[in-house]
Amino acid sequence: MSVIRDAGLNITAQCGGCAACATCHVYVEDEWTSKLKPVSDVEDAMLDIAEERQENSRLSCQVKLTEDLDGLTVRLAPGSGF
Amino acid sequence: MTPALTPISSPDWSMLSLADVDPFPSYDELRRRGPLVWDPGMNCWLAVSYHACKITESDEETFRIMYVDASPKTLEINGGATGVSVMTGEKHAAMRRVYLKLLSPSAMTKYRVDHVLPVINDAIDRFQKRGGAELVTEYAQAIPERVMASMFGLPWKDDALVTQVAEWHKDIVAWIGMKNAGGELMQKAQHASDKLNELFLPLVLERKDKRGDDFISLLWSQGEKDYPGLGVTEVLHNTRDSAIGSGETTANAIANAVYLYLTNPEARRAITNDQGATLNVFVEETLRLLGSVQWRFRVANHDVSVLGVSVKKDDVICNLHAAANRDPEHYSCPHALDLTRKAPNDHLALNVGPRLCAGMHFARLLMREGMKGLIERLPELRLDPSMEPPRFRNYSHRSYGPLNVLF
Ligand code: HEM
Ligand code: FES
Repeated sequence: MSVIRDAGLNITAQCGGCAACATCHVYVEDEWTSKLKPVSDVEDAMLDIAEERQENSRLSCQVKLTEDLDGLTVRLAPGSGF
Repeated sequence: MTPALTPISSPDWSMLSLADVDPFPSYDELRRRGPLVWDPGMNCWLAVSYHACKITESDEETFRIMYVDASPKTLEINGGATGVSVMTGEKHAAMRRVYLKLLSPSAMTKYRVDHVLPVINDAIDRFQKRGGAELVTEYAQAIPERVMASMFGLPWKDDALVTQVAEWHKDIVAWIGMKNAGGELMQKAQHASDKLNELFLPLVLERKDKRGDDFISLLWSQGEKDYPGLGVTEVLHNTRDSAIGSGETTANAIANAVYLYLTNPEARRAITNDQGATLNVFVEETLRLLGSVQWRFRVANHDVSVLGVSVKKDDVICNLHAAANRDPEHYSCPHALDLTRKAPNDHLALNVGPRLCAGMHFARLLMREGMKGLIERLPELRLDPSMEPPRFRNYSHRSYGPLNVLF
């Protein structure tokens, strides 16, 4: 989430990364979905709030970037752009 | 020494001396004493740094809300023990999800048409022919009061009722802003709370079985899906919670937006030309620069160091958002209204963390539409130079006023 914001993209991400607002909702490109840690119960409940949830939906604040995720591509979902 | 004469550098200085005066120069001086400064008058730490506020608000394991320690009486006056803003843990999270669904970005389209635009247009209709108005009472306060009445399915054009509800809320907010103190403030708040329950309980009972598309019916329907054990108590408490959370907060925010619009010709031109993205940034800059609710309290669960300051178990921290939102360590040119600011919504006016304002999309909608109404319908709007100039008034909830205008 902070990487997206630092890159200058307008992401709302209003709760600052606490999985409490669903305004950092992104769609993860297919080839990356299996490489991410699974969705936790807290993230899952909050994703239910997000608009147009899909199989590849994630809260970007809950994705911890590691070296093997270098190149990860996501798209901002509706309701998350500022 | 009287509070007003005590220098800020002194450990005896208290924020209490800032009621009704421009607090921002004092906040800058205060920040020189550290990220957290003890206030003997308020009997709490003042967190003046952006990071200090963010740390304490993002970590509920370490910093609890004051309501955890509140007496049943205090919770009752506040709106009730099952209101989202006073609950903690899984119950809080579950009720919060109910609100986030009801107040989601996509829900705004319908609220805008059904509740917001009719109220805004009616407010302007009422004074347009007069050629002048006082926009704090006739616009900034009137909008959230009437919009919420409309949302609850109350007769929002009934001025006597709407004004009375607002007065009751004011009495409760004044008491909350002073850490739920006792005495006369509490007595007034108790009376107001009883009256609000008398107003809302019959509506909650009626709509249990007869659902419409008002907010109380929606609380019932969404709550039954997402909040285990939802009943009359929960719907009443959350009707009260949403009513009090939306009123003075949004009124002050709209007044501040109008003030900045009237006093910054360049920003005015920019948002008149672009009532989309530029207006949205203007609204965020209003929230950052002047805010509305100036602070929120938290309590330390154990001894903890916050940015090098030792906070003891059960010490109260006042997260001074209004100061943190101008922290030069976080913002370049913090006092400037900058419509090109990167990440303009990265401020604390709506809180941050697990208790971030659940009505944030609605608050923004009201502020944006409130501004659009004035821009479109009163292009000649200006402050009346013959009248009292606006000041940054009050204490815990603040805005510029009076806003006597001509058009
Ligand atoms: C500009 C206007 C507003 C401002 C500045 C504002 C500010 C805030 C702040 C600072 C909090 C956090 C309180 C705390 O944790 O101590 C909060 C919470 C809340 N606000 Fe707002 N608010 C605004 C408008 C609204 C509106 C319009 C609604 C509803 C229609 C609303 C509903 C709520 C609710 C339900 C909470 C509790 C959230 C929770 O505990 O999870 N607010 N607001
Ligand atoms: S930033 Fe709020 S849920 Fe991710």
